[in-house]
Amino acid sequence: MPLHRSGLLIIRAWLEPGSTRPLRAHLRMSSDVAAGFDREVTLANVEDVSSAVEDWLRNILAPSSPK
Amino acid sequence: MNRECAVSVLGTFDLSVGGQPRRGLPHGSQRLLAFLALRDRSVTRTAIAGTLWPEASEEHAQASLRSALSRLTEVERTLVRVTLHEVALAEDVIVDIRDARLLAHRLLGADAMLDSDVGARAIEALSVELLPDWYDDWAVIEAEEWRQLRLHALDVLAEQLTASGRYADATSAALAAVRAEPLRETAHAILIQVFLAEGNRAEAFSAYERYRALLKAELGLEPTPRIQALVQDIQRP
Repeated sequence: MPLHRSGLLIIRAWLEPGSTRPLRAHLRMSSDVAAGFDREVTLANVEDVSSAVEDWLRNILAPSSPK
Repeated sequence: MNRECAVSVLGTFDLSVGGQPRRGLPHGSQRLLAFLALRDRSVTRTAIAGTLWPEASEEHAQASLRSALSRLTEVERTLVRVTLHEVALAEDVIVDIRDARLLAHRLLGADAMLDSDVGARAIEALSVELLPDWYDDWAVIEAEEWRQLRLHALDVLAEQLTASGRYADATSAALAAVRAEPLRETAHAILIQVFLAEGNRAEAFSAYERYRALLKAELGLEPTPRIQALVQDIQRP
């Protein structure tokens, strides 16, 4: 068992000009890189991205294995 | 004797010497060879140790580097050039990502000309992720850079193949770009344009409808006027 676990979050964002909500943010998340990525999602507004990042951080803080 | 050596980092890590795959390489040695494969030059021992073992002290990171080098067999050690301060892959080692990057940059160059032999192999090379199951910071960054490069190269390749009338290959390239980023509208627009250039209006409209349904389901959005305009005539004949 590792002494500590590391999470990883990759956000790739781009714009779709002409869209009513032009932001696209693709998130790949892992709350323990030893287990690989556990979630992928594409979002279209800042609030949703912020919320996903907060959830991911809470998973990192969780004492046991998330899911 | 066949001395051909190759390091592959597209898809899974692979190493072959003399055309024969080398199995059982320790993970630390794999990481070292993959890291060197992604650099086109010598790298200082300090930089390698600090990048591959970022959480270790400098002393321990250097020891890990020495260990990774020492675990290479005599044959595998011929793949690397080691000096007191630097390490590099030997010049004759074939590295798949280097060829793939050259191809991508050639496609994206201002004077890009589509060679007649650019087709299925190029699409295949540009469709593969770089070390997708590796989570080291340096590997993740390299993988993301490669993803961006190959996405744009696939767009250009699909457009050039369309202009050359090679619609089957153009469709494959556009579909590879769509698969790599399913909610990126540019790739869908190019796929629709391939079908339109081919005269396949029904398939163009189907491609549009698939994208529209995906966008609606995932984000609750409609496609932009730009992509709607591509199929406007088909919707209202």
